[in-house]
Amino acid sequence: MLPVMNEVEGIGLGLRHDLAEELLERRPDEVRWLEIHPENYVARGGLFAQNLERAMETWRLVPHGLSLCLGTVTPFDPAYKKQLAALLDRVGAPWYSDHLCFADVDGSFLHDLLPLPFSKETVQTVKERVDEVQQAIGRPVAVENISFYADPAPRRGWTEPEFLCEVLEAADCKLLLDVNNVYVNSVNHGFDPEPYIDMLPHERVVQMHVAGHFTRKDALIIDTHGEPVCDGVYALLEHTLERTGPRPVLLERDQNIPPLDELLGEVRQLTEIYERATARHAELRHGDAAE
Amino acid sequence: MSELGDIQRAFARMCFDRAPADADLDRLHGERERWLIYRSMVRSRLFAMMRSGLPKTAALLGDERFDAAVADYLEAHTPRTRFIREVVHELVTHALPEWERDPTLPHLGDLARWEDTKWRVGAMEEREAPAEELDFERPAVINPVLETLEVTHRVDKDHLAPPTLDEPHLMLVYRKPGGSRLFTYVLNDVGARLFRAWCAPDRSCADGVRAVLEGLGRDKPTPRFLEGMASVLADLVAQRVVLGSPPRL
Repeated sequence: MLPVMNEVEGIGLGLRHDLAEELLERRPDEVRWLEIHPENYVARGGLFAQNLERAMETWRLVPHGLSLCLGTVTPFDPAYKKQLAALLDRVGAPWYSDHLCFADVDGSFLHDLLPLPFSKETVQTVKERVDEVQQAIGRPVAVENISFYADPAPRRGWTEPEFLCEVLEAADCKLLLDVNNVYVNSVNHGFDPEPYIDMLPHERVVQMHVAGHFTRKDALIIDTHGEPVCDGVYALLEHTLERTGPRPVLLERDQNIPPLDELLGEVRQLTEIYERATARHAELRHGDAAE
Repeated sequence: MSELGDIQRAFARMCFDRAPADADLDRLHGERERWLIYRSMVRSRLFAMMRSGLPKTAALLGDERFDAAVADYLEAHTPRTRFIREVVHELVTHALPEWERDPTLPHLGDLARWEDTKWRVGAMEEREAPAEELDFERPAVINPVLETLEVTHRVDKDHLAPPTLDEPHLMLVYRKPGGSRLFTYVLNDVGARLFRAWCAPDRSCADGVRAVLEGLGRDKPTPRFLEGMASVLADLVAQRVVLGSPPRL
């Protein structure tokens, strides 16, 4: 059995049900860490609990939530916060991430990641929710930028990256930078993704996501996590890592999951980009220091 | 008033109402078609989860009726759980009164309850239940990862057209300790009485049998009863439904 990898670095995969058996059987070296959705493991036994135990034998696990979406107006359930904290302690989570969106209101759960208006009220709400979660779990919270197809309020002057910076500053929290979501939004809403990446506070980035998506006939991109990563996302990831330096990158694949070997091919491609970009980052920093 | 709250409530109604209201779509601004993408995503994920949990119920009802039941649940109830797996139970709880009244599918209620129970037991947390070898003169320890349901159709044998049973049977749906596979064990009326008697934590198995005999209006067990009872108990032990007797202090 491979020793447990202590550092969360390099390229990770999600511990997804459809993939788990083969992944846990083969334990490929290319996969450096695993991401889990806490909602799949809290208060649950059976196969999921067994897979979690098996995964912890080899990998560091990084939890990524789906339901404590940080822009909801409804306060979080205290019982769930306790359950979540217990799970994070159990897996030794370095941080906890969830989405900059809402997914529930007044006790109704929509089970999807839904967009927020870029407003001061939203910034204040997210700050309160981040404080609430950080206090409950005793570790840093990272917010993830989402892909969105429509804006629920008229523009008030903030672009998406400006809004994101406002949230990060107000909540004083970390960022899970979803590079695919930046790419998807750049195509759907017509902006250049590189300046978006450049204006973010890179020191707050603790993790990244990349994924594949589906392009409709009308050119609208739907963020399915069900296709291979496209060249545009690979290029944007390289651009990003050159600026942030080494940060763990997750290859998300949640639908239309291919054979593991095919995913490992993508992991290897991501590893090449990761090594090249982080080496370039080190060179640039060295150059800066020399000047 | 909170603009954010207004938007989120309009969004939820837009996704869960049987048809999205113009007022909610207007509240969200922008292109309607883009908002309806969200409605489609939210609903298709939930519909898919229901089919995962209730595949045989969905097949029995057919697409139109099953989808109508889900749509009714979404509008009238809405998902009240952050764990998406639990929406299956919410749907069954919501739809069961109507399903159980359906004269054309008399086993529909049994089937939906059985699939729902399997879905829930599959996800139940493992619980410690220390036990040593079964002593008939002491209480039994019952597998804690187990749920029961009373049925009048053997939907585990045939989900399309199971015959009606002469008397209600008790289904035990469970996982063996440390395992993830699901099992269904079916007991007839007398077997169910015995099982329920053995579930009492403060009564010996032998006293449980006496209580069952009393309930059946019998002074003494017949040889056939004893043979059947011993066979059921041995089987429940072998199947890890009865785990043994509590450890002695």
